Amino acid sequence: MFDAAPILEGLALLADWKVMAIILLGVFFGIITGAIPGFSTPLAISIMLPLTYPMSPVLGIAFLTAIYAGGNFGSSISSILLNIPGSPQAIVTGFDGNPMTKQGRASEALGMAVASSAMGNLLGAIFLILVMPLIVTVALMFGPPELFLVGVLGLTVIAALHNSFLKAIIAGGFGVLLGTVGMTSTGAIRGTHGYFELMDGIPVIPALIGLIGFSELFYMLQQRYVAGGSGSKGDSQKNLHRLLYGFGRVLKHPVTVLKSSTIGVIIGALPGAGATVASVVSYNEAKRSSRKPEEFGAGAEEGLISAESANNASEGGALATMLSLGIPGGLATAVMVGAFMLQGLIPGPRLFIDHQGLVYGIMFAQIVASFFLFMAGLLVSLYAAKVINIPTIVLIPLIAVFSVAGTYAISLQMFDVKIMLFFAALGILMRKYDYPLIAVILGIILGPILDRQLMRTFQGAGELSLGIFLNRPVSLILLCLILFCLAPIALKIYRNARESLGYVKRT
Amino acid sequence: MGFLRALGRKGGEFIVPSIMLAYATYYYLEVSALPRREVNLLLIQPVYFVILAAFLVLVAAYVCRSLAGKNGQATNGEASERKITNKVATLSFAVLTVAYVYGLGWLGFVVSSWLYMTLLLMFFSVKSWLIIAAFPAGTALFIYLTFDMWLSIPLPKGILF
Repeated sequence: MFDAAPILEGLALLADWKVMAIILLGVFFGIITGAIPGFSTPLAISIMLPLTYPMSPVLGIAFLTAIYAGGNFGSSISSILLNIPGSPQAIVTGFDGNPMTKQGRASEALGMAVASSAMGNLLGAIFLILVMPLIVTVALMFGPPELFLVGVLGLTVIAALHNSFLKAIIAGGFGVLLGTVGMTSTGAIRGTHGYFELMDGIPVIPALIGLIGFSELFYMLQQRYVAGGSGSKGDSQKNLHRLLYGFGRVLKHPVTVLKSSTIGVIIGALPGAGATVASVVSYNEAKRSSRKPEEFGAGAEEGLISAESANNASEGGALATMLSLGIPGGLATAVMVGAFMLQGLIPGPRLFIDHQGLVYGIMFAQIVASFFLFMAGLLVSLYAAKVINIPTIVLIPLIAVFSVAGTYAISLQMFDVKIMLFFAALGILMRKYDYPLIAVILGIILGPILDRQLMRTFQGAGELSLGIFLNRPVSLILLCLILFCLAPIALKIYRNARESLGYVKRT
Repeated sequence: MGFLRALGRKGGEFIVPSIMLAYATYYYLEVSALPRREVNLLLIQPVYFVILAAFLVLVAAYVCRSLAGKNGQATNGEASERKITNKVATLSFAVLTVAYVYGLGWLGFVVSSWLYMTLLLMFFSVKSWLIIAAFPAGTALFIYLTFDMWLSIPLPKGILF
């Protein structure tokens, strides 16, 4: 029988100005730290974790989930304005967000990002409340073969990233190999070259900052302002108008928001997949189903909306798995498990039985965070957009120093900063010869997922054959989805090859 | 011979895939030598062969295009639009960044960041002495106060600070 008491208890927990104030503070802190390259959401949450100790459970957890929500959006600000993603989940946002900045539509792009993030977060929270038991049931149907195929589904986007399929494949494959560096579950040590720092694998954030962010600075140096020839000297009122216009544009794409948020929630609920994979898969799907797929990568509104909605909605899915099963989907939720334990609570099925009111309180806090995210996001974006009016000769030293500090802060090792420099050099070369940088980063992110799950599939079945994937219903659905995503790419390759052969024959 | 000359001229096109293939080959051979080869190479082997095949097709496509008289692969995206033109500033930035990263441990974050930013602004020909004097010091101090003092993230300490 439906029991409204825990829901009312959850709502009552939120009826306190302190909870509202802490959610607002958390959202602001998340947005600002998220915008600093290297300052990832898990890092921001872990820094604030000790502060939650003296707080009540609802206050502490609501604060951390608000940082989570703010951080997911904040990392998109630098991605849109400077093409330097604050965290991996904002990479895909930059695909279309940064071209929009270069077209002089920075405020509009930020407005779209705020709206998509807030809506994605809100839908994620609603999904969390309404269909959490279903999400958990679906997530439990995902074994190693299915999680491997989710990784492959994420990889399919690499093939569509660049006009040269071959360049994308080489770069993506290279990234996947880099992603497998480190100690495996079998105890083998691969490709560390004696550096103990590489035992856990290539650090993703330093690689991301170096490859995409720092290498960008060398090209930024060739122009006076970030957005082309001169800074756009719009006043605050005009910027606000453009931000709100961007917000309005999102409302014109309700299907994209809903579809991307659903993808975000489902992928967010899968342990190990996370916001980055959610945004990649969602972007790929938006491009596949778009009437104008050729506009993706050149400032397509749907591209930005799909990436932002999905990465923010994934928070709802990740929280569902963490709250109901006690399984953290990623680093951020792993830190939040620690926050629960600090309060004397153990996430998992018992939490729902013993502290139903608190669980509903946390879920409703996420809805409140979505509204604050919209307001705080608009306010921060209003001022952040002015960054592009600073001459690059002043902006570059500032970004360089923040990038170094942010990279160092991840694990307090100079090794990470040197890794960042190495990837910056690689990034400059790749930009010069027109290789997709994103393919390498996606490979590094997806490589460990693919490797781990393939190894577990092999260990579970004792062999590796296509039959393993064909005999499981969810695997089969995922295989069909992969083929569905690859079909347009295969068709494009076939057409290109036929045209090239025709050209050679004619000459 | 014409194609070989073109390959020599446009050889730079193959720098990136060659580096990637060389690393992939080295890595593949290294992992092959490990015990329980079949488990460790589960993912690495197919990915390596995909890279190898893509590299060979890339070279073959280039040769075909060269023989057909079409120079190299059509480029797209940023590389065709964005080139490094300001070579002095770029080189200064690269050298100073490497020196900064390696000097961080010795001079400490605050001093090396201040020095790095000041030198960069001077190399980038910033005219305002107020910016050159105040901006690096303010930024270094702000980051130090935020990271070290407020967030308790200790930044590298050197011989001075």
